Amino acid sequence: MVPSARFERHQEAGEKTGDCCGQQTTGQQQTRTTPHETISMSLTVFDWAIMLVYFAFIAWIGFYLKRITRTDDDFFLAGRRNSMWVCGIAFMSANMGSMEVIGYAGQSIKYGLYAAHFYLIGAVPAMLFLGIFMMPFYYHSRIKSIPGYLEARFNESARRFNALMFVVNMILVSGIALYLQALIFHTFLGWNWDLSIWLSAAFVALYVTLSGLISAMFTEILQFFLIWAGIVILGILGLVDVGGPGEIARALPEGFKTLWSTAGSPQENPMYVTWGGLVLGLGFAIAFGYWTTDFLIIQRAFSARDLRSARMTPIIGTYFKLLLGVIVVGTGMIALVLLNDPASGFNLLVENGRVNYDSAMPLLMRRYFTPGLIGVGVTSMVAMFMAGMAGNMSSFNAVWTYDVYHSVINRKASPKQLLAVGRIATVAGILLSVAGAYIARTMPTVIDYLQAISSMFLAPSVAVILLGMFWRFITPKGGLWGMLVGTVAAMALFLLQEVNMIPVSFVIPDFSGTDAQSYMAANFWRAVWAWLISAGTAIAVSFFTKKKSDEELTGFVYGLVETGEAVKGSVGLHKKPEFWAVVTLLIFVLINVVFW
Amino acid sequence: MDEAKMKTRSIWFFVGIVLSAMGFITFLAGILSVDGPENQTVRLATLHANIWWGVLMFLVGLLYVAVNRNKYIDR
Repeated sequence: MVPSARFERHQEAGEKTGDCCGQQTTGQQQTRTTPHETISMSLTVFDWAIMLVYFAFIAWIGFYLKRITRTDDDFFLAGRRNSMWVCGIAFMSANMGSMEVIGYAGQSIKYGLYAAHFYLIGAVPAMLFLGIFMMPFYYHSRIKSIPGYLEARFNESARRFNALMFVVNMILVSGIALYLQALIFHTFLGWNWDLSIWLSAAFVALYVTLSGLISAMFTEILQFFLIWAGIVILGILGLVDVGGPGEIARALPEGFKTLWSTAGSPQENPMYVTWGGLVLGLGFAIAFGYWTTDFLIIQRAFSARDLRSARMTPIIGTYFKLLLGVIVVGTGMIALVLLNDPASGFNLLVENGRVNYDSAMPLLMRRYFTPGLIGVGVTSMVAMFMAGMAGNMSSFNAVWTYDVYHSVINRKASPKQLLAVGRIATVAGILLSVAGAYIARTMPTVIDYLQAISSMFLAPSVAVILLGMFWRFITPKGGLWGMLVGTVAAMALFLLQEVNMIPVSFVIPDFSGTDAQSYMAANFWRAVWAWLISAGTAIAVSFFTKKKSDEELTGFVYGLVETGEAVKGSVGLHKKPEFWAVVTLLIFVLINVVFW
Repeated sequence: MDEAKMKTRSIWFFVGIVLSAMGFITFLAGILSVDGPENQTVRLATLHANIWWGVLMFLVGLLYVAVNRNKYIDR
């Protein structure tokens, strides 16, 4: 049993009071911070040279690949000729944005090992489900986007509504990503804030505009390697510094180093959540929403050369996701141990009187990295941003072009016109993201806000897509109204909470804590309610509205699609997606049992 | 369109080029700053991580270049 006061004070320090100067006692833990708002890293000529190599490649690759980008299929789906490794690594790289790496290292300081749930129950089951059960529907239907699937399964209105929600979602997320990148440049390199944001935006615009998904995937694969090059060495040096994994386990209290044993009561764990919120909210409503219906991620699998490669894409991703969790959460734990050791001299950054947990990873780089490694580290952080932004923009331009422009504005557009619209949409999307970044700059808690966005935009979609994919009963109008009512309900719950018209506890069935402590739990439960409201509405409306015939649903609904391609008798066991999914599942179970 | 122009080098080849270039620069930085002032201020600087990590990046990059030097993707 862990005294709740420890977590209460710990979170109050970071989220509520922002009283960061000097010592802050948090039960057994002490979070010591200094009132710095910018901490410059001194870059040598070698560090600049490493960054120059990276930027030169990014700028060049767009031009190199432009000559092979001739059709809209090339631009939006990278020609559908990629291997499972290219797709799998690009799939993971699109997920490895600054928020997922730097953000969750910071979250590990707040939530301890509970942050690992975002890499375990919040990722693995949904990724495996996508690869094993859902990918055949997506891939066989030859759709170019998720809204495209909704049109085929339901109707044009469902497609337009989902496309609109996706576009708004992407702009919000991209704005936050741009803001975080500018924050890194501004805070750690001392660059002008405006210059940082416009320079970052310009590079993404350059290479995504020239050759779309092909260059986005090429750079994502390079960025994948660079991100690992930066964070693995950081983890190694951090472990050496604190004395190894055993020392981390010894230094941290029980509630910070277990996954489930303290999930019986919100008061016993740092996230103030129970197993119900974790399993139903994070593991189901949010994770399935993100991993199985977010086109940003799935677009990479659509570019695979065949169904087996498409199905293997998210399964390959699970292995890297688990490894990433070890590095990111491990880095956060190392920072936590150092923060609790007065002799370490390690402090977090403070902005406007508020502890910035996201500063942990960059500050650890500053602590350990010597010339050359600083360049690798900074390039790694830039690569995280670029990978995330390229993913946002390449999916944004595809949905805008096919599901808004081609579907609503110009149905007779030629492939050449679609290609041009895709390029213009990329530039427009990036300009909107720049505007979003200036808005994000005023927001207090970016990660919590991101989870709130997921609960509003993704949970209703996944409810309707899953029901529609596995149940012929759901009608076109049922699908549309399910998404509409679910999204409006989730938005209403969030906005009413933000303007203090309803307490955070309103959506949490097992609430026991303060509103500030339970913000993440509220995001999980809001997603559950959004899912249930969407599903309930879709089922209710389907009772009274016209269904599609089996002929119309062939290829889009379970039982009416050919899924045998991946399991032909000639394919060896080691080449079957199911085999590798079972291996992942065993590792997943083992980790959860060992760290129970 | 000329058939030859439609051939694109494998992405793994470019990964190798960039990794080996960055690894070499990191290694060089480590060698030239062995007795630099950073060793007094940076934690664990005496491990000279930039030297061995730079070598590792360089070798991994070189391996990717060697294995993929003749591989092209038809588009």
